[in-house]
Amino acid sequence: MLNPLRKTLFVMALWMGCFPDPMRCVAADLPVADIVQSLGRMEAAVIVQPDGRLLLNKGNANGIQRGDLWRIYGPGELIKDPVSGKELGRMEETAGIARVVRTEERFCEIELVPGKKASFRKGHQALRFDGITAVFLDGSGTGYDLYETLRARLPALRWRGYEKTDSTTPVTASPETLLFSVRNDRLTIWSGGEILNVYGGARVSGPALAPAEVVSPAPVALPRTEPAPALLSSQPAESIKPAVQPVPGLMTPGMSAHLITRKYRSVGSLDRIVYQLEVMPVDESGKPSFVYLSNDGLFVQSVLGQGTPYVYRYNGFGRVAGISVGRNGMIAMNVFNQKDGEMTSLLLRFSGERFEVIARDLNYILAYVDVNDDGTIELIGQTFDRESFFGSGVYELALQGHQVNQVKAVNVPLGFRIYGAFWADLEGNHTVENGYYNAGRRLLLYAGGEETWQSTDPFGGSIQGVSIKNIESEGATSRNEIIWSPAAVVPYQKGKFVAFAKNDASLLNIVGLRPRKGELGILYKQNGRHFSRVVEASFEGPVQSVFVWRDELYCAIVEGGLFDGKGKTHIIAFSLDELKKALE
Amino acid sequence: MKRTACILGGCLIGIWLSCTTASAFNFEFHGKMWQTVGITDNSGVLQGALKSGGTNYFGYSDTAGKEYLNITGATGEGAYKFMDNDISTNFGLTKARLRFEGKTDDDRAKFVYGLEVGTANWGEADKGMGLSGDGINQETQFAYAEIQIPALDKNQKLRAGLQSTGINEWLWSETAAGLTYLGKAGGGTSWMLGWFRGDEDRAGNSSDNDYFALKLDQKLTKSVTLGLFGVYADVGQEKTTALVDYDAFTTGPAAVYNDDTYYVGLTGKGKSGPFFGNFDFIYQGGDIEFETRGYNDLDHSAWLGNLTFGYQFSENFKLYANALYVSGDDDASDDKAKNFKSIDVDVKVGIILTKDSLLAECDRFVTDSPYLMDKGLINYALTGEYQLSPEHNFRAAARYLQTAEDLDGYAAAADNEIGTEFDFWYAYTYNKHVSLLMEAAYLIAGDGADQLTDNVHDGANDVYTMAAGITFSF
Repeated sequence: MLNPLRKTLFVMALWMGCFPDPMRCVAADLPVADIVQSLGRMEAAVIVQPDGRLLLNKGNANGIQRGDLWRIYGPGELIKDPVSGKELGRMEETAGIARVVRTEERFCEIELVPGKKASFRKGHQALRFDGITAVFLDGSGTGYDLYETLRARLPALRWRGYEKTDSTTPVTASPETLLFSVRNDRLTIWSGGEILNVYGGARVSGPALAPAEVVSPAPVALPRTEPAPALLSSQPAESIKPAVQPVPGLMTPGMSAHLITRKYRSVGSLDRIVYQLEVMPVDESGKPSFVYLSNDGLFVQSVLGQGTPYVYRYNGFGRVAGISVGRNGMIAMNVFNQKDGEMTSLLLRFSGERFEVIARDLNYILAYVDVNDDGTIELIGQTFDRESFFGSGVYELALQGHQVNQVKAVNVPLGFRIYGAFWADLEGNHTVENGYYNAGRRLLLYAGGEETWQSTDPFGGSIQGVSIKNIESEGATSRNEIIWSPAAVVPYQKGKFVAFAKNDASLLNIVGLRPRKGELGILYKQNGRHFSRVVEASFEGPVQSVFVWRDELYCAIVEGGLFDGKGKTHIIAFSLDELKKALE
Repeated sequence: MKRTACILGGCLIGIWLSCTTASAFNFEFHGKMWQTVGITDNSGVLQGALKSGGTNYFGYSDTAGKEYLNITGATGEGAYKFMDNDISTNFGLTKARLRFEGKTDDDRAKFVYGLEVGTANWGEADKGMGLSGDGINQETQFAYAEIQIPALDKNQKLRAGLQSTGINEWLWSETAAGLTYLGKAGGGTSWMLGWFRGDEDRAGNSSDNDYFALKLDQKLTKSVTLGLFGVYADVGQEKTTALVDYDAFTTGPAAVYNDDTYYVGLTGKGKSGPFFGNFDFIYQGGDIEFETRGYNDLDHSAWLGNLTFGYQFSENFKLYANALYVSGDDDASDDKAKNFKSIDVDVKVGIILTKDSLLAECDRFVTDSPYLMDKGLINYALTGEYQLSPEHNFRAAARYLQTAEDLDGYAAAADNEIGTEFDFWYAYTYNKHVSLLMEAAYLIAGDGADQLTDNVHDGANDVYTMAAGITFSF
């Protein structure tokens, strides 16, 4: 008979054996970031040589490898209006699929994948690994996590699924397929009939985002159907509705017809919960960097998940109560000192390599906002009130040396709250409306001192909040003041539309807890009427940030345990052109 | 039971509807809970013997020249013998508060109801913390309604009911029932005008226990605020619980008196670069008139001065010094009551005596007022605070404590030195809901502390307390 100790160890060993050992997970051992980057999409132009050979204007210097697969797009058929006869444009279509057979420093040679149609011309656009069939063969039985990770981070591939195979079966890769083969903790990637790379053993931590995806011309401009990123609960690609959802009858306020857009992409993920994320050019070249705030500090990183981010950790008295990103590296960091009953906010400047505190102890709740909707971002500050948190004064501020001085008062309605506030001339009629969230978590618009619109339902707010003790007694209870995400004001027709995080209002809000899920809200105005609609994409977590960079609208969605601060943030970009079309 | 379930169900449905429909009314629930364990070598410092809200100290005399000390409301001998109890103890404490707010979206009207499970010792059967629990231990902390005054802007409100007074931390900060008018204006001006009803023990609601208050704060610059306040108290038909012959601590006859008193205060708070500071000055005047014949009336003439001055060396380290003087009464036979009296406060002058502690938040302290009986208080303190990271906060203080006038009971020589106290606090913020707190304090008893014990041979012993606890709030 076994003694109790041995018996316990035996049962534990048996129990543990029932579960896969996470340490043996292939994904944990591989440089996923490198893999994703090497298979990321890239745009190139086709060059047709006089002898008929086909080249692309990208080469070794751009990370092109022999075997890379490209989808070539042609201009397609001309579409005419059947009534007026006017030309409406061209329906772009796939001209063929090609693989790289030779690479040079600045160009590469491609050849048509056998059996695929070809009608290449100079100037055709090419996208690497766009809609290419991907197969994942797991001969070790431990690669499913890796499959999930790659599928989530390479949404442009046409995934055929996950297949378990016998580790002794020879692998055969067809020339038009991207094949991932896992055997004995080793990953082999085949593409275009070539082995692109073999990975095994090396450990690399951190998520990745292909750098070109942020700074390159937006690939979403090309019409194509993309697989849904893991976070988007969207319909299968085959059943996606037309890009512009027709609204029956007259467009009237109150109709909540969803805006349909097919053009989005998964930009990347971060292995932490991010409260705020924006993009900011930090130098004169205009090269952007991501700026994000988490429990661990304020980060600036040119490429998400790659390299070591620059970090500023505020270790002073009080708690960080939100940031706001300005221009030329300026960042306003709100700091609330509960004990002393004051705001001690900071102005920081990121110079490309380090943070510098420009001004401190500012007794305001700060935000960089375009108050006049003239394209210039101003620093504004709302005064602090010990009881209600938001004071009654709002001022445009100017930085002079290390001093911040009031320039002029900003006229705001009573009850104004600076978090999430925006100003926009929605209809292009020189009437700037001021939007803000009131104490009841409703979005209000004011113009000329009069309320012009109010959302019907309260919103769920944000997972970021500042805990404020009621000053009525010692040992008082606290309440949660929501730090609303800044809205994105986007030029649209003659005016603007406003994109904002529209998180769900749940019962938990009454105890100051976070929203669980969110949507992307769009507020616009036509013929003097306001419309509030949402983009048809149900996110698996609250939306924490919305911002515009070039021709895309970015959303940051968080998931995970918000109580212990462990979780992830996923960034998804929507084509602005497509959204505007949907609005029209 | 069925009725209660129906009411509860109705409330939940109402809350749900308010969250999910186009309601312009919002509900909020907030709460806080303390769970604390601790140890001390003198359980006398946990008894809360000198509570400002219920006490009225003054020395007086009769026409025959006999001297008395009024200790109305004091908790028995603990009021003057809290250093006497050399009983070591370890303990566990539980306290909880719930606050319910219903308000309109635009903040123009709200009502607030606050509940409290006042601190109960683990094992305290009377409060339901004994075996099987089941205590009836809920109290009302707040019950008020607030509305924006029609025709005036949103920053001018009326508040009625049991509410916080918030006049000054040294004079009156606790709750009272009353009617107040609160306002704010551009330029950093805020004001409060109020009428409060004090302890009223007569069914007829006489007009003999009223407080009228005015408070005005003005922001002079971005970082300098000046405040002015005044309180007039008309407290009548009170009865003394006199100690006759202070040295012998024997109880004398009760006498009826009316206490008309007023306070005028000036406060300031400022910051300039790394320097920061604040001050309070309060003068108390008025008189005490005895309705019972044979006693000499008194004139109030007392004051309190508080000055804090500090320097912030870096964004996470600061050092500040504090000097506090609260006047006391040195002669019960004259016609002056020179001891300052707070109305109802929770002052923070260290861990062992007052309420700058987790223990005190759990209602374990000697006094919540800035004095000991009618003898006033002097405090010189140096405090350092260090924020190691957003999660870890350390604070330490050394203070020298005296009464403003000599304590002179028993055979020991009169003296005013309470002692030197060392305090240490540590707070770990797990997240915005949960914090872990630890604190320790040691009082090296001075000669004056010998007067606070009847151990006439050995005098007062040193005192230490240590406590750790968790707070959970939402």
